[in-house]
Amino acid sequence: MLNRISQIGHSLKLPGLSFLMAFTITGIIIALSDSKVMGKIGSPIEFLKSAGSSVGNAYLALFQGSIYDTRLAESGFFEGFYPFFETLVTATPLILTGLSVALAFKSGLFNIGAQGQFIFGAIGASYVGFRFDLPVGIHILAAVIAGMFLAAIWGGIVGFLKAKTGAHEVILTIMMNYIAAYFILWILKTPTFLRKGRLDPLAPEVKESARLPLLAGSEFRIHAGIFIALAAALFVWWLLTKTTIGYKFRAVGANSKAARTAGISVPFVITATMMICGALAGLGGAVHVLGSEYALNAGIAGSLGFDAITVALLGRAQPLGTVFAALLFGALHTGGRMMQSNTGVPLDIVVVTQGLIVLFIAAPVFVRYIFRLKKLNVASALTSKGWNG
Amino acid sequence: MSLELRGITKTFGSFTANDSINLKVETGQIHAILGENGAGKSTLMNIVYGLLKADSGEILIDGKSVDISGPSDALSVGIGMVHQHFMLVPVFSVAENIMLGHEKFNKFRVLDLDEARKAIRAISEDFGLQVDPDAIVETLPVGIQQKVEIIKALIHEAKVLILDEPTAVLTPQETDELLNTMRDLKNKGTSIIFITHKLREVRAVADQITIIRRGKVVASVAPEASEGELASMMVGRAVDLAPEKYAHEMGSAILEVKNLTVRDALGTAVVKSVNFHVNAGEVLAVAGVQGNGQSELARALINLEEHIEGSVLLDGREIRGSSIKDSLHAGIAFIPESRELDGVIGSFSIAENLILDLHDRAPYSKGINISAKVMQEEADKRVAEFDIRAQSIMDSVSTLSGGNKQKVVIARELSRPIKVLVASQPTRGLDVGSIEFVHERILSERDAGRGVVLFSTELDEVIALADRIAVMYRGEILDIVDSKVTREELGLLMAGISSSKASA
Amino acid sequence: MKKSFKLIAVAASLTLITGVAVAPSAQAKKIKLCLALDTGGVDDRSFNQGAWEGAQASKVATAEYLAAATPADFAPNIKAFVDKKCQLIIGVGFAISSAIVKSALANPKISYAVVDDAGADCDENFNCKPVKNVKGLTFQTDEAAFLAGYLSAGMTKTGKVATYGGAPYPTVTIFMDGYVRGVDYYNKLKGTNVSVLGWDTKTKTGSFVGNFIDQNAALTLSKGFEQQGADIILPVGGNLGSAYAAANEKTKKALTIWVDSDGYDLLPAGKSTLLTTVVKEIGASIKSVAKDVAAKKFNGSLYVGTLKNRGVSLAPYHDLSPRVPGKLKLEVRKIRDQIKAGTLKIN
Repeated sequence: MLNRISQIGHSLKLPGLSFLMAFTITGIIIALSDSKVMGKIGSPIEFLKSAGSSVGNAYLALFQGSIYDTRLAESGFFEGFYPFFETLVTATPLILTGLSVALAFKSGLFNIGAQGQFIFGAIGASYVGFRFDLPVGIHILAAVIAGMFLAAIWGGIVGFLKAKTGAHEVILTIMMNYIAAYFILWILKTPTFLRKGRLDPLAPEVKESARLPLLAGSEFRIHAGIFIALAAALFVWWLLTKTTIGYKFRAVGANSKAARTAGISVPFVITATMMICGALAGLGGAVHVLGSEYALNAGIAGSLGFDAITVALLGRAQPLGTVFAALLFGALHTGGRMMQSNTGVPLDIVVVTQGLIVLFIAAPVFVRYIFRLKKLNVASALTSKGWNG
Repeated sequence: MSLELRGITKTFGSFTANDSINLKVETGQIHAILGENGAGKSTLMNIVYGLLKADSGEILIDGKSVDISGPSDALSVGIGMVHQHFMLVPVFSVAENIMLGHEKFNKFRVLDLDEARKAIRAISEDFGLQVDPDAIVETLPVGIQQKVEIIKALIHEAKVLILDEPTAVLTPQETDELLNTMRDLKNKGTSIIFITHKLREVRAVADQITIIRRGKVVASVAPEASEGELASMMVGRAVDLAPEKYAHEMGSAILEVKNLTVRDALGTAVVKSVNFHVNAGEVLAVAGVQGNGQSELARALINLEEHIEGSVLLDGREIRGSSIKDSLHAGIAFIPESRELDGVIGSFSIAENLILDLHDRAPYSKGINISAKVMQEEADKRVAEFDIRAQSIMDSVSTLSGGNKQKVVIARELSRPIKVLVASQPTRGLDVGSIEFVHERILSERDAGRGVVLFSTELDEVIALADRIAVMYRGEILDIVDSKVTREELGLLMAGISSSKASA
Repeated sequence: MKKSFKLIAVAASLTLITGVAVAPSAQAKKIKLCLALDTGGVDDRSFNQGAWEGAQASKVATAEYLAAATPADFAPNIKAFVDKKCQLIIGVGFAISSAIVKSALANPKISYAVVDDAGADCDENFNCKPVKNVKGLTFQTDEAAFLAGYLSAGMTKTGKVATYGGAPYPTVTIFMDGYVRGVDYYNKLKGTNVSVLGWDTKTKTGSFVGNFIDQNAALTLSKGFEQQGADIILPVGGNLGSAYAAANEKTKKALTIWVDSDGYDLLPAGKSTLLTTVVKEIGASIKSVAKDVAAKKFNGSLYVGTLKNRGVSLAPYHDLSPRVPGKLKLEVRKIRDQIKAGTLKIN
């Protein structure tokens, strides 16, 4: 048991140190880009004080904006958790798209297509959500299934093409993302999706019966999607570790030649993986629409499908790791909002922090050098293959 | 020039690869270093050549301590190395390859190849290494390419030449030629360090033999020692070099291959209309120099190749065109040529590797779930039965030695009900102990009435195990001969000269 | 390892402590005006930028903004403003309208406004009812575009002018409608036959880039119209036309008309061929609503920017002023006054 704990501690060392370094560098950038701080460059003590205050305020805002806000707590202890709930809301679709990318990594595939799959999930859920009148529960289920189904097909096309023709999934998924991005622009202009009385690309809101239940009342946006996302993470873990299908996925991902030699059908694995990945990203789209957005718009996917790649990398393609990475990104995004409005530090700095964290995790040798670590646990490197895979 | 190593120690973490090794190579001596895979030979040579840095110990050239921290240092003190995998640019000519890294230009700033040609001819004459300086390397046979590597070392005035497993890629005739070249080099005063695990070659050419086991020098003996003595020193126990092969009744044909042609992705036939059969209880060895279509033929038997024509009958039933999975479950056990690439999944545990073929069948799976309990119980049985040395069945296979990896493959492939065993280079790169084990297993399958197709480039192995020997040359089976054939006859066949033609 | 680790930890905690100690003090008695921007960023040379500049220029308010990376940020951004006790929250762009309305219904004590939309509470069948704490800030840009159309018809030498949009949103096509009608009006008065490429007011169809970002696509469209003989072009779509404006400055084949904020102050290149701008005074509308809130005179009635209240206007001709005939200038001014007075109906 003690051994196990030290093992976990060991495996957290690299992410932890990367985290610390990313925030240190971001802090330096914040200080140096603050004209008030730079105005005091003449006197070192004033300069440091001012820099400390600038960075401190920014990070305080980042914390208050993402975890717990004492000012909000004035109206009740529970209210103080509003930022944390926002973090969960932001993280929910990211967990699902992240799982989609992570699962693909496990099969040795690089799914850049979570973006497009997410879009189709959102389209399917939105259509069923606003078009039909169904009882609560059934309506949600129908909308979620519609989204997952469309997205599974969208992902499955990539898998099928790769399996049959050997075309590289990176190129296929990038192209499919383009198609999806323009498809949603187009479909939002069709009479079916256009809101009555409006010409801009915005679909009607989904009916009340199709909306995911809110968990903490209408004051908060936190919805049941977070449980769906956690269940999906559990599902992916179960699939990978306990089932024959997951076994095949991992075998092909770790060594497709040996898997093939032992009789595992690689085309089946590629197609099945991409379908499940599509369904996961599509579930993300469905949950996003049914849980927090309600109305489909052209920018519904934002950069969720692309952030998913970073999230999956950060989470080492492990389900639990992906959940934590998504929560971290969600916190940075929501906290960045407060940081922007309170201290004027632009939201973009959060993207810099995210990039730095991933950079340091991807370059463990560098972290090891900085902190003079003898040996870091950098095993279980991701087995995504190169362009010739 | 003499080379002396004193107290060389090198550790990787808690693992000691070299433990205070002392060794002296006299001027003009062929010094063989004999040891199993993983004994520390390569580590030692990489230290001598400057690719690794020793933790302690010193290297002395002609009695003077030298500091070697890179291959260029090694070259400058007169140490040259010919690696097992050649470091040549295939599309360059011999002269261009030899010049590489030391380019000389004439007054027009154009490569001065003439000087290289002259130097090559001079070396060729001095040492009897006949090579055309303008030949393109990729068109040359492997034996000649190796000569190019040797010339490359000599042209930089290497006085101590390290040859790392140089005969692994050669035909018997080429091997004999290399041994002669080594003797010539020795007579001209070049010292040679000859790294190998082949006992026969060591005894034929070495002046002194140092045996390394588990990072330590265990003995330094004269070549007069018998193969049995050398082998037991290498392994640390008595070994049985020639497995007992009992005569026994053979059954009827269990595997029949008719007009089998295999094409590569470009449509070129790499196996050309091959016919043979294997009887139950028989070992058919397919011999030949590497790259003559054996690998493709072996893979085609379980439909691993993409473009196959002809017929493969297993116990009278056509299996060509079935899926790989169906071919395996029809009753073929397949030991692939490269166990790292095709045999095992390095990051998977031993237990997981053992069910690669059976994971979706009872008792390993119930519905969609894999039963970890059954998997582990069965793994425990296999590990015991096949003597797989590991701390735990949950260890990842990549932590195992080559021999134990191969045992995992064999244990997996023999755990299905089978009729035929197809083994492709099953002992390549294995230590003596593991080779012994594999040979015993192959013979016990034969004795149990299964057909065995053994693809091997090792003549000793072929002769020791086979009931009949088919020799492949350029995609065709040149002849199928009885196992009582001589090495010389086999060597001629492997070089493409069929006995009928030879006698005619 | 330990040493450097500790150093950073100490540095990090120091910044935190000092940071908390020097928290910002309370502001003066100005109202707190908070802008929830559309996607595109605060420096988009278009409505986000115009709105932010207007908000900063307000003398009765302290302004702050939140940019949205995606539409999913709209609601949380507005909520953040609510939590920060903003007195006036303005959503910039019709896309944010429904999020503003939702927040307004939940927080009746806060004043809201939304640019480019009526800010009404609409159900799925587009039955809308006004919300009393949301002020819609809309603009009759067709009035100013009408003037631009009349001007263009008087200036063209080829008898062809052109317009196109970023996307067929009502806020875009209203410019194009006014422009076409201005040209038609000129034709009616003078018996000429100037035609407008790129927009048909009857069928509501025309040329669009498809977004508000792709300047190269816009350049291609402009060049196409140029080849068809158009010598005055009005691109409606934020910063879309700037690539063409720059290219046109060299070839001088056509004149361009800008939209929203006076292009003469904005464009890095293309001033010498910039005829005028159809100005939409978003900044002025924001200043006006801020003033209302500060004076406790805020109400939810619709703000409509017109020529009359200077919410829309035709910018000066700047460098091209000498080329515009004095008579035409007078006619444009006359029509402007007629529209202001209500004696000329442009529809």
